[in-house]
Amino acid sequence: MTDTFIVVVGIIFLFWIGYSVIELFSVFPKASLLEKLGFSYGLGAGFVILQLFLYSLFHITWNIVSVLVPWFVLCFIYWLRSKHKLRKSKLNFPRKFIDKIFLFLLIGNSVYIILESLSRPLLAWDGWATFFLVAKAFFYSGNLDTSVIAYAHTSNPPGLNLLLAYFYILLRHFNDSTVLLIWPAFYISILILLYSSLRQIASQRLSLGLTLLFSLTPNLVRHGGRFDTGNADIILGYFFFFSFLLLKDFIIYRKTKTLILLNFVLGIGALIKSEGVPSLIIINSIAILYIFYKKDFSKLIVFLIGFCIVGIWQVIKVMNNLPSNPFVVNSFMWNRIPIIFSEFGKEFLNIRRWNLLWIGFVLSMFILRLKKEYLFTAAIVLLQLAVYFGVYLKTNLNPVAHIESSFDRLLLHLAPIAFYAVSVWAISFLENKKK
Amino acid sequence: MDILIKSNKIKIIVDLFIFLWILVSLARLLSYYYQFLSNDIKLFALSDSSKRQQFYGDMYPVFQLIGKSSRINTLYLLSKDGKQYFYGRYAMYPKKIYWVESLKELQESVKTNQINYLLMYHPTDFKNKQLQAYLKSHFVNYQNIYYHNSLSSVIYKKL
Repeated sequence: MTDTFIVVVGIIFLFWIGYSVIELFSVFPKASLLEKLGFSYGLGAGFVILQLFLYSLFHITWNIVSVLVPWFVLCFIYWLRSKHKLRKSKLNFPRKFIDKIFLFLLIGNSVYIILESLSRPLLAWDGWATFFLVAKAFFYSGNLDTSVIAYAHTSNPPGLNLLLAYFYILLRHFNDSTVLLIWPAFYISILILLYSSLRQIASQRLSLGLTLLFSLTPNLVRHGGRFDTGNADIILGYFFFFSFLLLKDFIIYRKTKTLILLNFVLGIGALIKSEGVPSLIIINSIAILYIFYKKDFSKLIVFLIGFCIVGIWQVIKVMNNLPSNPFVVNSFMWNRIPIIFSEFGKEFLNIRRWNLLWIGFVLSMFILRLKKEYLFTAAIVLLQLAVYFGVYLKTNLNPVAHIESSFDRLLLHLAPIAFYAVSVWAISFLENKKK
Repeated sequence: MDILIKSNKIKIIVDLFIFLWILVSLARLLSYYYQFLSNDIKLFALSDSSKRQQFYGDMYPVFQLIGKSSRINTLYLLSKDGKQYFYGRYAMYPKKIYWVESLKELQESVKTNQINYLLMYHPTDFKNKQLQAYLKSHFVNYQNIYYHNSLSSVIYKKL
């Protein structure tokens, strides 16, 4: 119970770190309190990951004092400067009965996910094979121990391992059960972000209803708190969605602060899992194209942030002779195209894992509602899917076996963005019906 | 640009699609809650080690035992399945474990490494006569590990 309490406090502290940074630097002045909360957890987690990463580079000891004190100072500064603002911020609770039912069910789902994550030990193979093994080693050695990465023979970057190590530092011992609470927190944060982004284009009832629909996606539930808790995919899905919303915000308001945050989030995503690297390239490419279109070249230097975070890790990998991604070594095997299309189709039709999410996404592309926002969102999903398609064209494994064992997790990275695209389509369709 | 195809058929398809999605999701919601209240809630009554035994099976006591041993710091693992390797490698860390899948691999590893112990997980999977002969000539039975009264694993020590 003590460990559970400490982990919960640790999670709340991550929210607080992220929220303090958002408010101190006025990053989202127009965002609602709920939207800021949705961003806060990922930001807090990202800062802690970067903190332990930099501590390792500069040989600073990992202990409770060195890890927590800088954030206590930051949070204290924010609290001193913004006491009056906290009282003004409020959440808009639904007033109508059906909206209250939706909210009640959403909260019920979240509680269900939290309880599920506490009911089982770590069962995810990738958790055993990579994330928790390396995190255990990092905690025992008190730094980013590259020898265990070589021992585990993993090409995954250290982001999630560092986040887990943070919690072990708080607990002062290794506990792989209670730290699984990190995953429901990401599940809830995705729902908060989805709701608040839909709320900008739809009514409270529709936003709550759509968020509830998404919250019941079986693969999301599975990774958020059930048997696949411990894999990094839902966490990467959160950071993808976060960076997508930041990109949207940047295109509308063109603020440098947003671009800085976007690159930070993309960099953290690339430290969570290798699939974050193509996402960084895709989203930054869109942002760079936009900057050239607007001729706002002074902002180009900001892109160094994301590329530096990724670059430093790549240098460490090369210097320590760590394993590289084994699935992109071969050349493209073009004769696999029909097989891959077929396997992709099977997964899109897999209602047991996705309900009707991916069927809805494909449907929305053919029933024409050419709103710019829909096209933009769908394009990002399709570009990342194209990257995954390319990986399967190159993989040294049997492509059918590889797709069957991994594609559902890759789709989870894109599920929040894809659902947002389907929601935009559904909302504009329903609005047009009323006319 | 907002092009709307004004077709009643398309509107019916989309309405039906949204209705189906809601129906499937509601069914999921009920199944989750039913599953939790009928099965998963019982897990909270179990201790941590009982839960691990339930979900990990005989892997848990095997690697617990090796983890507590003061003599074994590294060992080979003879196992048909990667699951034991990944779990064992994780559970036993900082003790190290090296998976060998065949006699040839074991022979090569023994020549080049100073690892003195071997864990054979589910010995009934390894009845190959050549393997048995090799083990007899290079290793000695160190400990048998039983799970629910049947032999789960055997630890061998190098001669």
